[in-house]
Amino acid sequence: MTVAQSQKLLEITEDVSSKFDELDMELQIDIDVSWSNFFDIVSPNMFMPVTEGKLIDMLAKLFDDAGDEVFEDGMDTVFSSGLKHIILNHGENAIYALEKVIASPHADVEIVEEVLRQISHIDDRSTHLHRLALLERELELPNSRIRDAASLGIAAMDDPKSIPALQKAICNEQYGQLRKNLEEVLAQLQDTQ
Amino acid sequence: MRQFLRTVRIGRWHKPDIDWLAQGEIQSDAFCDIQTKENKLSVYLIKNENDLLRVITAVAANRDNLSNVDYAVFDESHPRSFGIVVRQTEGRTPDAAVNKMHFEFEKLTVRKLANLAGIISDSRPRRILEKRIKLLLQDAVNTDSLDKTRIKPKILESIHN
Repeated sequence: MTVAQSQKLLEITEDVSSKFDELDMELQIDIDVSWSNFFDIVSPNMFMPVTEGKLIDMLAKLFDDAGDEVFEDGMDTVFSSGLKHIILNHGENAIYALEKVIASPHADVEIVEEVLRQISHIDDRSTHLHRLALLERELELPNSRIRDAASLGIAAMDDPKSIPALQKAICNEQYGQLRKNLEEVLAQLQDTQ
Repeated sequence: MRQFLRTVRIGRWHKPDIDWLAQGEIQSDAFCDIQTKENKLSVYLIKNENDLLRVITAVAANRDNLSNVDYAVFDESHPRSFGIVVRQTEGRTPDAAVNKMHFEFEKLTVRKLANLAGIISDSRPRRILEKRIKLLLQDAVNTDSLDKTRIKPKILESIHN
């Protein structure tokens, strides 16, 4: 575990501990935790709902810790595991918080791309439409890497509801290679339909 | 015509909306896709479309999760023309036939890598979407071209769903 990860573990544990204090309960967590299974063990939603501000803080820290990661398609990372756990534990609230974090002008493009790929692979019906809407909105952003990653997320979700958004994106797309990739996603969704 | 295949992430090779990128330049994030280890880089040598799909399938089977595969293919002679040393080595995918197609670019220097980046960029990287990858994997598993014991559980689960 790195120093940054240890600090994060300490901060989140203290946060959880304070919530227990509020409930006048004693924190008893088996701290035989490696970072890889941390999110399996400490799920803040186990204790009480977390405010949007806290969720934004959690996501921002996750983004910071992933700053030096080089992502590869189809490979698990600490970042992807953390993101999935936050969304699965906090549902819609996590998506609202995520929208704010990725909209920050300081958000790392490489990490935002990874977010758009990862959120399409979460098996959670309760946030399906919200995640799809988020991806559709990202198709309209000026950065072609973001638009490309959004199209991959939409392709992975394979929901024909995104056909109108894709058609609009294709009409607006100036970059030939990306337009071709968008057309392939559109063809896939039309086939699914 | 024999060609080398290297997996990439297409977004890292985009050019048009980067206002500071001069004509003919490539964004340096592209180097993430040609990161070397011990000055070596893994590639596959393919002869035809069947080889291409087989390599793509094997690479996808070697991952943690189902995903699209972005890749670049370029003429076998191009890296050699820049003095890149090419050596056949055993691959580590779940497909024994694909492992025989595995090569390494060796003794790479920063200059040679920059030349390689140019070759990849000029090749216009392509993509196979995740849904088709799933079909390719299902077919490969059904025809026993993949060693199932070497495929990660999440991939096996995904292709059976």
